[in-house]
Amino acid sequence: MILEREQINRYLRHIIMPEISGSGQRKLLESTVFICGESVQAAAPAIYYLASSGIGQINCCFELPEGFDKLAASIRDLNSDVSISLADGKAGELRIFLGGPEFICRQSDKITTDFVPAIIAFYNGWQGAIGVYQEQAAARSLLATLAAGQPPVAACSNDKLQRGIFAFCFAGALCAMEVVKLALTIGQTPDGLLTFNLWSMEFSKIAQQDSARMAAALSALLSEDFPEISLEGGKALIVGAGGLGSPVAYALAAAGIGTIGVVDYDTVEISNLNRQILHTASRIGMPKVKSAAIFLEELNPRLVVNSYNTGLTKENVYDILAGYHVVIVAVDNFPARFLLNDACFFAGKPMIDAGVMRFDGTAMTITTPVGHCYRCTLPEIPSGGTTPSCSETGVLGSLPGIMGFIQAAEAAKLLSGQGQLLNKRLIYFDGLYSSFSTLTLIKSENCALCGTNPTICGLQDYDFVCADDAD
Amino acid sequence: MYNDTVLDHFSNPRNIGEIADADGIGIVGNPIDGDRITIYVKIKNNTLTDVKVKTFGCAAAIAASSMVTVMAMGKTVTEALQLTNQAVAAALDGLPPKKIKCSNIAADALHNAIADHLAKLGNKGGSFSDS
Repeated sequence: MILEREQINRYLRHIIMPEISGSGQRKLLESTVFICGESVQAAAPAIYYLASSGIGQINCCFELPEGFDKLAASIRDLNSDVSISLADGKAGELRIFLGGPEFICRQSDKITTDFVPAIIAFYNGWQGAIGVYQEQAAARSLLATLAAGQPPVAACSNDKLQRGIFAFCFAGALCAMEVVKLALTIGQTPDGLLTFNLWSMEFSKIAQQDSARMAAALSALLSEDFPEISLEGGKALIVGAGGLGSPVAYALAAAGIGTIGVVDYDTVEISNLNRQILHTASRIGMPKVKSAAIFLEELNPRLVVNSYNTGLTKENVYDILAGYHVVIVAVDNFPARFLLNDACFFAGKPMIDAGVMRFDGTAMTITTPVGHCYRCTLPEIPSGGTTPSCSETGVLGSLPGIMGFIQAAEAAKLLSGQGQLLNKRLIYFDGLYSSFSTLTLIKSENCALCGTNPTICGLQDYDFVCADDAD
Repeated sequence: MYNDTVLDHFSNPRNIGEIADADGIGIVGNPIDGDRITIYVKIKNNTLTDVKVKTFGCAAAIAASSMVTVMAMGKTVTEALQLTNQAVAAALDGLPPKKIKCSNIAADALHNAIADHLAKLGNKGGSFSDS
């Protein structure tokens, strides 16, 4: 067989996609990636997703190497197929440089000497950009621009790092996705810079020749430009400790949130591990909420984790929601989404939704009575057969990372009452083409739940049927 | 839950792709499970000289599509039409009972591809025997 039996199970969600298949997964396992990061903390999300995707060899180099041994142990437990070590830049067919603009500038020699293609991702505060550089000239021009935009003081302070958490998580997951596309030559890498602003939730693609102005502006941002947020008193409920729940919990815990509630009835399976970075091979069979708590408490010892090892029902939903400031919907089915939509509406809780499939994802925030609710966009639970079932279409490991980190940033803004939310917009991400689109969503006057003449006045029966439980 | 033969064909499916100048194309879809199988055939002297498949679906559907191309390759049209879903499942050393109904539909796609070819011949005024 092209892969070991255990590997087939581990990468099932990849192999099932014709773009990857077993042969593509094998190629990933034979790939080497070099990642050069500002710090272990900043590079960790990228490394988690490289490892879960099954990149066989990850060579790392950090300006601040503290914490590498701990990360490496965690990565080995996540995926024993992966070999991770500290190494110099020469080894590695694909290279990632990830850090603040000053850091990227300091890597100029490494990036341009004996040039091989590089993914360069930089961030400042809540903003950032990622570019895939196939030619030395383009990389040189980016580096010159970044250098020209440098503010007078350039040092990697912890304070600045703390404020960049959502940006480096997001950029890291994007890097991991580009690596897979490059290794398998599928889709298209951004032709220029893909820029993101998680504070305003705006994304754009900037052509190579126009990227100078943007890079300079981003480079010149000072930490004073970013409002301070404190999540210490924040309480977020994450429904689903899987593909989406993992990155949401990861980023919120790393950002110093006070309390996370995790709801999941499932246990850890090997086929989860291509994307669910909170879990590990040694915790297979353990309830996901317990496995998540172990990971999160290790990441942030001050964090309070409340575990709910149960499915969500109309009987228990209000009790579980009570006490949380924000609800993050990280589920893989429509009935649970509709239950949460209705319960959050009646309980007056904001909810942040995301969905992933194959290489595509969506995200939106619901803050009724302001803006739409889920039923404004989709009035009823789609009937069986009209939507592909959960496990039959596959999902690229880093995709839920990208969408989940968007949800985490939304949660942080909601908790701090700042920034622009996705409560009148839906973000659609096409991973194969690295493109984000924004759809404007309008509250429906005819909505049966939040419209002018509602017909839904309490929780309904939500038909929990998944066509496929055979996998 | 899957045996090694199924896992082998699932993880390393044979004859994947399209045939640009296919003589027949057959599609089957099972909307309940989201499986969709497209089979392309090249037919010369009443014999399937090339068979390719593209499948979106679960492990069982992918393995069955792969196996049906292997079984159909080089067969005559009549032999290929006699290939059943059951025979494909048997060649895979069996599929889980749940998957037999929903995902074991690859032979249907093959039959559709041959029917497509025969229909085209009919339109051109050709006949079964001289194809």
